[in-house]
Amino acid sequence: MTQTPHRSTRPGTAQDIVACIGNTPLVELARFYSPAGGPRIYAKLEYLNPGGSVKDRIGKSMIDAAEAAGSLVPGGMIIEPTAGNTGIGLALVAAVRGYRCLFVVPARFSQEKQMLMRALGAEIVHTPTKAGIEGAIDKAHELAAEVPDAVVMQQFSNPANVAAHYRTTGPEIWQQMAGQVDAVVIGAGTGGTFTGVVRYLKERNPGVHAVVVQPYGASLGRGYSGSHKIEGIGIDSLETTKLLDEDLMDRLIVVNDEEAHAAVQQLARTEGMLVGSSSGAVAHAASLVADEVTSSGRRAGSDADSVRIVTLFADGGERYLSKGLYDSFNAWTV
Amino acid sequence: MTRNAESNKRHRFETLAIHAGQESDPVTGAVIPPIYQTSTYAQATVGTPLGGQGGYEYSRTGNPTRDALERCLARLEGARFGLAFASGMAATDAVMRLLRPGDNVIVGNDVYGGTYRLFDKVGVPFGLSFDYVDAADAGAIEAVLGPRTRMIWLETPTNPSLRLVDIAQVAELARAHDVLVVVDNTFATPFGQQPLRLGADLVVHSTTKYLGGHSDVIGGAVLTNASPVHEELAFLQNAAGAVPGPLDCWLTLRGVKTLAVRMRAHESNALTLARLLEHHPAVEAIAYPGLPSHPQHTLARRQMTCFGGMISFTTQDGADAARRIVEATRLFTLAESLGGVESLIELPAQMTHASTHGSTLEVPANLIRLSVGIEHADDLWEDLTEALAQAVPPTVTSTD
Repeated sequence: MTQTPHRSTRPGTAQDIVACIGNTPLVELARFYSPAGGPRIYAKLEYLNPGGSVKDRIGKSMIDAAEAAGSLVPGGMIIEPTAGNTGIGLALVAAVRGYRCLFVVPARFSQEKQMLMRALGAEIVHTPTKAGIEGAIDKAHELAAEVPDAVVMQQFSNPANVAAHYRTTGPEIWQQMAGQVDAVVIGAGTGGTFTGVVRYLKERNPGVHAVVVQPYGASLGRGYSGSHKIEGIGIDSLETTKLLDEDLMDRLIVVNDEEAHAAVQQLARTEGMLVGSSSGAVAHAASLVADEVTSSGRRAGSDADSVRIVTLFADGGERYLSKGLYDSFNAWTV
Repeated sequence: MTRNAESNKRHRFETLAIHAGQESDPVTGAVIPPIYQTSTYAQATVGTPLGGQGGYEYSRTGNPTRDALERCLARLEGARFGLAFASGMAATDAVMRLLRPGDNVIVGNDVYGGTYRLFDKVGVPFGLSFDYVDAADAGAIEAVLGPRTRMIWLETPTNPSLRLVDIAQVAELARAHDVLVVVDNTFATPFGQQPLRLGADLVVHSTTKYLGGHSDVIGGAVLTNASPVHEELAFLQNAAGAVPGPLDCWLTLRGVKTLAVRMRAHESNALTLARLLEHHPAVEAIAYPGLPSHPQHTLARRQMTCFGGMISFTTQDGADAARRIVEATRLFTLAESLGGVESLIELPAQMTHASTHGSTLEVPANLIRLSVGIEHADDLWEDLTEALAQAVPPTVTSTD
């Protein structure tokens, strides 16, 4: 916190935008998923963070940790391989605290995210789409070796990523649901959100059913599988799975691009929620979990109405307008 | 777009089974997709179908009734792409043709006899190699996974032993390698298990069984989200031509509409019979994933949403007793195949799995397989107990 002058904050106002990260609303999806009775689905609206995504939380947490460790010095530079949202989260905190940012972005990721990173004062270096996030990771380390006072945050392996969700997102969900959480359905990119949230929730209630959502086509090296249009989730190599604690994972649900796309449009029309494709994917997966609860409840003659399923909408749809997220499926581009 | 095709609204399984891919006919308003019994289609100008872009040219390449079936089955499995074939074996053959000489396939070791015959008698001479392992043990798969391995072929529940394979675990293992995971989902159906949701790449079906459901049509299908694989398979479907006819597609579609209600009834009957058989003196051991005594019941509960209608059991008194039983039932028809509304009984070692004789896949001679239909459970049990009495005449008592 070296850059922030100490002065008292006026009651009812925030000290700075960084203080506004987190404490996002948790809203029931009663129109998107509205069976006559049956489980209820709630979404944590992470796109309402100041930088527009869940990644604001880890931007703050990773910078806090680097400051505390002394690796990030006043005027230092933050280098990070990022699909965009982490860059925005980091750049937003860096803008307030006076750090420079250099982001390595695989070319395919959305233009809007890159514009926003630049608007927040960051510099961007592109790596080829084909090289994937691994190419970006390698390039980031290469650049860091050349720049004095540079720190690579390494969101794919930084414990502060998991810690942000263990300390904030998980407890917020628990409090907002008053402890009534039966299942959580979370997409995994770095696995940080999943591991942090689920570790906290399972400590409170080991019975919480934890579902990881992946887009079909994730997992690099499989020449057959093809790529996916869903952006921001999808674990593509072992190098990027270090934070995903598989012991916490009760099951995986794979969602395809068409299902995620349909859910995004349905969420906009029925719930007034403008969310990105990864949110569409988790919403679809949460619906599948809810369907199963209903049918197995009926089979067992038990009541499924009390079941509460929580999911998390990582970012908003506005940053994918140029990719045609709200057009027809075929017009939506990677 | 017709009213029942409201865009982007997510529907549940039962609804998809009836409506997916089956919008009312735009010309006549027919609620049921017509049987487009035609081989060819008029062209407006050379190379331009009368139906415009995306229209049809020749029924081996594409047919509207087949399209409806393919789209419906894809949606039910959580797939973007679906292809229908003339039989389950034609579907399996198309998937095998994705491979090249020298490629290796890891196969679960109690695979359907017809699949084994195709791999062994057609695949091997073509230059493929197959490793048959206990796929329930991920370590066994990992042990044989080599640089030439291109595919892992699974059945779960297996046929006829009804053992389970942890699809998610195998898919994760395959993730790091360039290996396709194929699941033959014929036994479970998408109502009971959706392998693509668990990380598999391809689902293969014999639609002859539960999907068709009435033992009156032969068919197969391959469903996937992997667009490059789909394109290759679509090429093979057209180039090799093992396509189902329009009437067969229509019959299968009609069967699929009631899949959910049938599967619930199959499961309910199977569970009733399995519980009774479990304590019958003529029965040595029984396998049904829905029984808590099944060694993988926990996995079954995690992976399956319906335990299906297949039961297998071994008899106390060996192969002769087993043979007497399968020949003694009256309601249970002695026949190969499975998945119809009527109950079937068979002796795999001498019938469906005879082709595995002498191989490592050979099944016990005293194993009986039941395909439990949706007749009244009490009638089925009466029939079975009478037949079981042939095996152990003096001790059997009727339960009612």
